[in-house]
Formats: sequence, C-alpha cells, structure tokens
Amino acid sequence: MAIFKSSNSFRNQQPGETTVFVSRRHWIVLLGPVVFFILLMALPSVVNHFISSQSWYSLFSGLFEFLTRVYFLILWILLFYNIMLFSLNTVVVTNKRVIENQQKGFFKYTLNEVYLDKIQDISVNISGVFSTLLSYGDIEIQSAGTQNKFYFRTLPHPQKIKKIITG
Amino acid sequence: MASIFQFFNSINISLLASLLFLGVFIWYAFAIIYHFIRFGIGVIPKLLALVFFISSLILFTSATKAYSQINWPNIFSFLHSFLKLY
Repeated sequence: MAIFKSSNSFRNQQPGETTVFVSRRHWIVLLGPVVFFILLMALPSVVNHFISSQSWYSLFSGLFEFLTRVYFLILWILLFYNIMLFSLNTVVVTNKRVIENQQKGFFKYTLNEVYLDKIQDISVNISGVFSTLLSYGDIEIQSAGTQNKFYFRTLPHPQKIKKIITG
Repeated sequence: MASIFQFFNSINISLLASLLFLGVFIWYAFAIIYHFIRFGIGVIPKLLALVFFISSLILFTSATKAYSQINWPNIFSFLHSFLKLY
C-alpha cells in the first residue's frame, strides 16, 4: 500500500533538496496531555458511581450513556489535535538546510530555516536529571545570516542531531 | 413576546443542536486528517490519520446508537411531573 511507502517530502521543499533526517520533539512533551486525557476519561465512571444509586437513575441511564459517548468523542478529538501538533512540529535536516516547522493550530504554522553553509556554531544543552536519563535537550545554532540564533527545544538525542548537521 | 415563544416552539432545538455538533465534529475531524496527510512527514502521520478516522467513525456510530436508545417519553414525563411539584 502507498501509505506505508510515504517519502520524507515536506512543504516548501526546494528542487534537488533531499531529506537527511527528520526529528520530532521528545515524547516527554506529549506525556502531560496524555496523562491529563486519561484522567478526564475516568470522569464519567466517577459521576456514574455517585448517581447510579439514585432512584431516578434508571430513567436517565440512556441519556447518561449517550452523553458519556459524546464526551469520549470530544476527548478523542482533542487528544488527536494534540498528537497532530506534536507530529507536525518537526526539525528536518536536508542536504541544504535545517528547517524547523512549528504547527501552532489548524492552518497556522511558522517555518524557521538556516542554511548549512551559514552555520557557524552548534551547541547542545542537556540540563536536569530527566533530560539526561531520557536523553533529550535543546540545540542552539549560531548562524551568519540575518537571524543570528536558532533554538530547537526538547529534541531527542541532541548530540546525534548535532553530528548529523555537522556531517 | 408570544411570537418569540411561538418561534422557538416551531424549531426542533434538539435537531438543531445535533446538526451543529455534527458540523463541528466533521470540521475538526476533516482538519485533523487533512493536516496529518497533507503536512505530515513520513509514514507515521498517515497511519495516525487512519487510526483517527476509523476510531472516530466507531465512536460517532456508537454515540448515534446510544442516542437512538434514549427513552425520551419517560424522561419528559418525569421532568413534567418534577416541574409540576415546583
């Protein structure tokens, strides 16, 4: 199936430009929203526990069931909205430049790019116990272009990414 | 004032609310799938779009089925007798 053979092409790709490496932010970024949604998913069970003993519950059980399913549907959409933002926030290293795609909502994104020949210095910042254990950190690129510094935050294996950029 | 009540009585509010919810749901589902497929890099976003499409279809069907099983006459008769008390 074609879906399993998707190439690493991206928007605003230049002619002759090939993707060398694609990275998303570390999964720790997604952990907070996922835990929050799991907790919210337990809410109907808690409400059901308190109202199921009421005498009028049998009349409203169908309505409660319907509202619970609509609630789950809304939660599912919000969860995938967050996953979508996570999935589309990427750092792409090509044979010409380093590109950061920042998806900020539906049809709203910013694109930062720095050409490889303009890069002067790359520094990696890993600070804290979690970031050391889980191997994530920030990358700062010093450039000779109009925009001096580029920050790529919470990337997995920043040392590896630095090696790929420097070749 | 009476004409306002007549106007609101003439429209099926639950149908309008359902249509509004359906519209919002379709817009969000379309936008999420579109972004995954159009702007996603690599295979993973396309697979996520497929997972989201199938799962949201199942959840929507399940919610529609639950709606059809609500015993509205019982609920309305209970609410009517409840409101009569006050």
